[in-house]
Amino acid sequence: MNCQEALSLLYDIIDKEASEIDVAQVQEHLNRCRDCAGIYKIEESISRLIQEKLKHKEPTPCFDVLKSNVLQQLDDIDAENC
Amino acid sequence: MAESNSDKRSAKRKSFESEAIPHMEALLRTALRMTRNQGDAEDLVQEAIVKAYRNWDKFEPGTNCRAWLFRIMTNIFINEYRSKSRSPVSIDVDDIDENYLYGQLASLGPENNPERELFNKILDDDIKKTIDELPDDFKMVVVLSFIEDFSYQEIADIMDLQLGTVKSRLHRGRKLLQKQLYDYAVKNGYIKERTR
Ligand SMILES: [Zn+2]
Repeated sequence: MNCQEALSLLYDIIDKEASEIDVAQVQEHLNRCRDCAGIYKIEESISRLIQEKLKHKEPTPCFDVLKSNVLQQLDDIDAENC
Repeated sequence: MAESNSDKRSAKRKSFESEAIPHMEALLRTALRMTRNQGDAEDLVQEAIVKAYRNWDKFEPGTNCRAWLFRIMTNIFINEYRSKSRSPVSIDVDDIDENYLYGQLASLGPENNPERELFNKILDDDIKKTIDELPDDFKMVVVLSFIEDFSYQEIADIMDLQLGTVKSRLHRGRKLLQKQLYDYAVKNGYIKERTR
């Protein structure tokens, strides 16, 4: 596998969409290519950090109100169908 | 008037509450990023849940309920909300250097983990703002992948897109996000701009 092939699989690998064979071949390339290994390392940590920050649970005080409003609407739909 | 006593709830209502309602917080999280507005996000979730409930008999038990709900919500968003939300800051989608952030970070110095140092300074809210500014087409795939962990195929099903389109939008979305984050970090003095 050459650099171009290894880099074309970058996001498939990060997103865990690549086949086992591809994963193994890319790993083999990264073991002997510093440039690609550097790109993989940075791209992986950028993706992971963005995910961590986006998923960081924020307090949603309004969620309970929303939920009870929604359940109330479901009650109304149930009532229509009676 | 129906009695909303929990004992008397229909089987339909019970199964909906145990299978669909637990996904409501995730729906709200994604709706907030899609609409960029608390009020619209709540309306969108509410509309999606009501629509899902009315169509609950069409849901095949045992299939992916979360993906089914996101598909309903995404359709409502595309058809009703997208046009009325203000258009985001325009970003030149074609003008992205493939390894933009990597190049910038690598140039910051050979010492370890320049990316971690940068990201330690960037706040959760900064990332959310950056996501909010992505053009909708890219933002939706980024949110469904990054926040909700849907697979490429699930995103394709949710958004009615070809697998290849999902992949290319996600790729572009990532590059846009990286560029925006870098510019944002420079603007706020988190990192010094690389001398060109
Ligand atoms: Zn290489």
